[in-house]
Amino acid sequence: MPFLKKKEMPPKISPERLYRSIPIITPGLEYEEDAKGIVRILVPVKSGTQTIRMAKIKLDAIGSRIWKKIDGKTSISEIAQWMKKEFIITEREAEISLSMFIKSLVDKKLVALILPPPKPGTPEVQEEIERIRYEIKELEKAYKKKKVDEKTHREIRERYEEAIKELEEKEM
Amino acid sequence: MEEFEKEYWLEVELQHPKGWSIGAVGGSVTTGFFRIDSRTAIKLDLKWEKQMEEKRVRSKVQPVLVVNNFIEGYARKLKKKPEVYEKGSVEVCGHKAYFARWKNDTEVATISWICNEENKVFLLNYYFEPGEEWEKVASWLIPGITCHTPEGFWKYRLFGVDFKIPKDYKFFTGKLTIGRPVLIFKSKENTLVVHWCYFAKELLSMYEDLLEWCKKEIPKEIYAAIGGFSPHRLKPDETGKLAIVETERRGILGKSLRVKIVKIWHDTDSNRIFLTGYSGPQEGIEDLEEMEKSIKFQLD
Repeated sequence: MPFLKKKEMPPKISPERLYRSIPIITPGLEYEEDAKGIVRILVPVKSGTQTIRMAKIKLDAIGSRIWKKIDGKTSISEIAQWMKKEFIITEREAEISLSMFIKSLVDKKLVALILPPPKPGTPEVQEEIERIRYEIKELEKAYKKKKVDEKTHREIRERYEEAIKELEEKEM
Repeated sequence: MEEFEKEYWLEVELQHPKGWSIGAVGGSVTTGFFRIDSRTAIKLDLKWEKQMEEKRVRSKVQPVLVVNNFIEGYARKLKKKPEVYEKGSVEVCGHKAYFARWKNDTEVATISWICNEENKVFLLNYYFEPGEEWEKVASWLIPGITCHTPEGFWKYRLFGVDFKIPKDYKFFTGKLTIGRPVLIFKSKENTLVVHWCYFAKELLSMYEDLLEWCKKEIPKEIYAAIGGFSPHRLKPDETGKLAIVETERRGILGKSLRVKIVKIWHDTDSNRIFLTGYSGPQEGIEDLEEMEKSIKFQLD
């Protein structure tokens, strides 16, 4: 429908770079584990700035074991190698099923990804510039909705612009 | 040094650098198509078409025309004239093939040949990435292609699982879901089904036993392909696999006996649940047994 604005999607990260990235559990998020090792993630449900209750997201047996490998130090590629041995699966099966799982956690804001710096002279640099530009747009939206104060907005925007400049200069 | 792995799919065997895998499949009884992707790009696709009228085809279809038509069709689609760098002939699996290296939006090597043994016309496209040289690619790609074999079966390989399908059967339909594919093959009246599911130990820990898993997790495509069966009737057979064997008399005098067989087992070595199935005349049961025996898992 022409009058419905299509939601802008974040730029894609190349699979190579995604596998080198490190997943980290969103700071402040807690989880509990039952006797069988099944993980329940406790997600605060907020009204304004106040937490009104905790929602629980239950993972299955496989998801629970992967969740416990997310320590902010181990890369996706390393977790995939562990999965390959642990569950007797091929590299491709490990990489695809893990990326799908991590993506669902990222979409729910339960996990964030620490991306490695882009490899100079590769399309990863342009991909990173586009990603930062997307982040700037998101920041502007948040600022307009008064979710970010002026000082923070200015500081983050400056940092983003500096990062773009640095990447562009290196590529010249 | 680059490492290679074999791919067996839709009646063709070829090799490619390790880490590449099947990205798309298609085809019917008389056609076949599959695509191989690297982690970042589409690398090659292969199409074949079975020629029914043997003699007429040989006089009409020529690899040179197949290649030229493909390049022209591609150019028409992109509305951009291609630049052809090189043309020539190569030998593929004992057949004289024609090839062209050309560029439109991307650089491609297109090869076509006719396999007289299988009576098929083949078309293969290899998509180059910057820095790749045709001579190097051709040195591993072309010798690795097998389009016909004297054996009575075709080898298949998917997600580390190898199996053999009798040559009478053609890939009919399937679902290549990662870790849990469903593959259905058909010959005239016979249907063969193969399915497996990874993370078996972990999944079974969520169910009481394999039977409970079967009641909920058998893909619906399998019921449709076999012609309906009740998982509640699965019973352990003499080998310990869960099985259903149902027979039905057909025909005016009830002379033709049709069989439906489904077997399911948990293979602890590969941590997979396997399902095989057959539906068709009783004489075809051996096809299922042969396929079942050929199933092997190999971790990369």
